[in-house]
Amino acid sequence: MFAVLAMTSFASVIAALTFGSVPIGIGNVVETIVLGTPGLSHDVIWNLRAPRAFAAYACGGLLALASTLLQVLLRNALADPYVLGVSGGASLGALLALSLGAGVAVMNASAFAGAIGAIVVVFGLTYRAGDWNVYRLLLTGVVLSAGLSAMISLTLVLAPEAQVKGMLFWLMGDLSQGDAPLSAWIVLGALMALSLVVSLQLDLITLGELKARSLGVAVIPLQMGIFAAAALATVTAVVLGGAIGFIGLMSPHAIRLAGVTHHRALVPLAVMLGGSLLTIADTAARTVWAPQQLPVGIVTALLGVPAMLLLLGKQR
Amino acid sequence: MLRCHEVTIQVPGRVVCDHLSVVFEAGQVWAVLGRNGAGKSTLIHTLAGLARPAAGSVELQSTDESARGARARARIVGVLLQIEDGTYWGTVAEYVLLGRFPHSHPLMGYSRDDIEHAEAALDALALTTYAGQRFATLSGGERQRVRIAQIIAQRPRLFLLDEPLQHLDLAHQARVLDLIATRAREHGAAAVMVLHEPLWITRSCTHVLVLAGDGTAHCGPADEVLTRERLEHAYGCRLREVDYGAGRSFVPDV
Repeated sequence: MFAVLAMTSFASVIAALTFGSVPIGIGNVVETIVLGTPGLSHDVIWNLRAPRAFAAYACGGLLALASTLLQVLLRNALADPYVLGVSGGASLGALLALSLGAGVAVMNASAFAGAIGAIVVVFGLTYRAGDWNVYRLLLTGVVLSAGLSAMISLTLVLAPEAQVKGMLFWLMGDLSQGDAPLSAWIVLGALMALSLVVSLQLDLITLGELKARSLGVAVIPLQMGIFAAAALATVTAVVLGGAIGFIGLMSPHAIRLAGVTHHRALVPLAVMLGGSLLTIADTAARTVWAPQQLPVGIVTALLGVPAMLLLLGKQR
Repeated sequence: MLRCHEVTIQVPGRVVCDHLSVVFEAGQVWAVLGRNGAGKSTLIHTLAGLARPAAGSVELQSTDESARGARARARIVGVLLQIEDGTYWGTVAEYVLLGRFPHSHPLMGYSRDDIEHAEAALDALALTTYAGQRFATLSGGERQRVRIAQIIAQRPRLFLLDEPLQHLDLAHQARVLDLIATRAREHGAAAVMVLHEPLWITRSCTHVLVLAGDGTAHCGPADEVLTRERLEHAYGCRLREVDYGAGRSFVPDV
């Protein structure tokens, strides 16, 4: 399974480098990468497509990682990266910046601030006087998300008309601004390493909090760590690509339905699947309606919804 | 092995026990009984260190000086909860292997030895044929056997079992009790089990702790503590003592 997903990952990136508005044959792609021949192909591949492909892969991997962690934390297979209000906060931040006509850097900073704000509010409301309760965490996140989505709608209604299309693109998920994937890769690598270190504890926590404690797991610090890691992964992904749906929810499910449930294997497999899926979806978003680019969130939903329904129908 | 000193346990609106002092020694098999809501599960949680008593102390007496910290404690104490409400996505074999967590290496994972312990536990509960099946697809009684197998794989020296016999058929009730009694008799383990059926208590337990429900508790050797009057008081119903040939038991007198 590792081999299959490693191949898929590789193929998805190669596909992302090959397809696009400038036709470059696959032989040419390989030649450019291996030999480094300068020219138009070289510029298109290394300056345009590669950063975007790597951004898409990191973004998908982060969403899958966040989702895997949150499904453990909330012991609910329906948890996705956005259930705790992180994307709502980021979206509101980004949209406020866009409606004021800010540039990409300011928008990213504003999205980041909004996401951190949402995390602080959710965590602060949940963690009162040393009392920590995952159900209150979930409810707080859901309620906050509802409030934020109303404010996002309000921002859209009041925004100058010229900005609205860009704002809608951002809301539906858009990787065209993904110009600095390096930091996302560092976050992805670090969080994945941490998740692997506590992978046995992640298995145990699905037994229930008391049972995990009786087997020697420090449950509350672990839950807080999971929350922090999932929040950081989601913030990084959302700042990179907007609110992209379904990749996170789907990836760990698909791996589990294939029979892998222990987290030492589940975490890396889900990350690889999420990365590959988003890279493929983004390539499709760039090329299917070319030269018009679709928001990648629409592609992931159009592919993700039927796939998810199919998987759920097969379950038991 | 486990020493309770002047332990007072309270739940909202009720005192479970008041200044209870009792020592659970190696080789002993204890039954905890009392009516619904008497606080049996709260007592188990307190003994397990999952809840704090309102007063007094619960002390794990171990010759092993390294028995500090939750993981080390879990190598000695195995806890079966009445409600284990997890959402487990894996197989029966994986579920049982989780009982080896306290013995495993935190980074390297489970060793060959851990897997052998898990396989032996599956075999002891007649679950070998279920090993590859998903835990969530099992029936209630089968799940209960898997939970017990997990604790057997854990190899604790003290078993704290909250209603270990729930959902089990007669044959498996006897099998589980014999398994626990053997661990106590031959391997020097101690067991504290919440049980309801007097027949199993007289058959398998050396000691009894009765929670009367009003804050008083009676504990001691099974022969002395198990009297008709005491059980009638504990359960609030009339009982008849019967001799079934190999021992005595109590049935409701209605």
